[in-house]
Amino acid sequence: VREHPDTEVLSSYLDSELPPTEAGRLQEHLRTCASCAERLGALRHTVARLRTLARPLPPAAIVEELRVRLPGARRAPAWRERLERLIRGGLVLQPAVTTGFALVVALTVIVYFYTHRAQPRRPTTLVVPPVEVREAPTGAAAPQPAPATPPVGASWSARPEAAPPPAPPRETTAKSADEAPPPAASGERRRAAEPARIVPPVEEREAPAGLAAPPPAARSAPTRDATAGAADEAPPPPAAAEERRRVLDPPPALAAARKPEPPLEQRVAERTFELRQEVWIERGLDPAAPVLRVAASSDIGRELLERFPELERLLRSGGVRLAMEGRVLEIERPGTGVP
Amino acid sequence: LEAITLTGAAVADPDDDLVFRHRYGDPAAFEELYQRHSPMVYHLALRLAGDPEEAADLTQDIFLRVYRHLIGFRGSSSLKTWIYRVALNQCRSRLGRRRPVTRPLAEEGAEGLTPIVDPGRGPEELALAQDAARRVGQALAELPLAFREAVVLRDLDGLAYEEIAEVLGVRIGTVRSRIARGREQLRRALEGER
Repeated sequence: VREHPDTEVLSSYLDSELPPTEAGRLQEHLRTCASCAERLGALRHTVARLRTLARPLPPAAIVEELRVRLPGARRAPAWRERLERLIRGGLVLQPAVTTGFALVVALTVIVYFYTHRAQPRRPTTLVVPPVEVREAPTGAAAPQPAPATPPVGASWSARPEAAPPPAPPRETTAKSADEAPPPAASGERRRAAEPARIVPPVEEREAPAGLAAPPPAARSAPTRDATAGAADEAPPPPAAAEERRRVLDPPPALAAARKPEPPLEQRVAERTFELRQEVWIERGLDPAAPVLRVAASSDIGRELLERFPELERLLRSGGVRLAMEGRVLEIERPGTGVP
Repeated sequence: LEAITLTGAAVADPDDDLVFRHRYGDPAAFEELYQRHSPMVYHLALRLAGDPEEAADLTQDIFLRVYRHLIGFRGSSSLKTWIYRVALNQCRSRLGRRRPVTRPLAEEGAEGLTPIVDPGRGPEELALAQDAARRVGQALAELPLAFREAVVLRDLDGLAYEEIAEVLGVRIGTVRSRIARGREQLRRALEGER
């Protein structure tokens, strides 16, 4: 290199971002040009000084504030932890608080169990979510918290002392409409109304109400209420896995009552899916067609879920096999994280 | 179309896992995501805003925004890059409305912002190092925003040129040039102080 390299070349060289041939030529030049070697040294020194700057950690107050401003993200882990601790018999850790909590839960369960028994005309359907799955296959079937879905809410209202299904999620949303995402219920309703809708997702746009899938906050809030309420009639708290199990395996009494079990059905995106061996299979698929399996978190999986967010409901209890552009795709049931 | 299985790679990335869990309503996922990414976000905000309080506010706003949009995150870039982009946009929009940001970090070298020095040094050396750090911080704060963004992302956060291009939404050539010009300007500023 005859002429001296400009700063851009030197700077890129420091970052090993020069193509090898250019880097070679520069090295050659630096061997014979003291002034350029000095310029490079000065630049290197500047970078080294920059790197000594401290990287302070964010103040803890931020996360506290966020917990307040994101109602769904708050408290939920605490709830889980407490329940997990209870289940694991961790009462010893926090004797006073936890024992009190356990007693209250136990008493509630016992009292409700007795009052529940005492009233003969209690319809069994109230106890067993899976029945609702079969009877109202359009939207109520998701193994999601019951209060979020209107049809289930309706049947709940038959319970005498069942307080109206929790309003809190809606309230919190109203309070901070800007921050909080739309309540789960409205999103679900929209989807039920226009099942095949395809939303071209744009990452940076402001999330329009109802378009984005209901953020976990909205979904998790009712979960807590549901678990609290469920203690009334069923053995305490169906962690998500437990809830899923209930959907998959109806209680023996009920299973006996119904003769040959028809497969569970769900109607999603104007297609009907039947649950067979933990896979929701679209009705009418060619059984001989090769199945292309994709993870839900893969690009294709994401794409599909973006286009048909309703599929996520199915994915909670199994894989989803469906026809897509002339092929048979199976979105595998996520093995990580929450159900 | 050949048979493809895309399971493996996706599960290996903890960010993928977090996004996925968040989508499925796991409230702990977002908190984990915050713990994982807030240091870089806060630091970026701090260097761009030049003020710890402002940076804290910005960080909060950025994560509120991330929370709102995470559902729509398609994974076409890495989550880290995406969060950086959200952070940068938020910083620009907030800071753009205000005075040009040239204020250095007042506490540079003070408590909490102690520069990385050998702890075995004596108090005098430590004071010198703090003073040097203050000067670097000040020189950085006085860079034009476009250069500062590039230099911070490269030299403080260690992003690759390609990632920086993605975050800033510019071509790699532009990244190269901004980093070089930013460094050169810093070099001159620091040299002039000697």
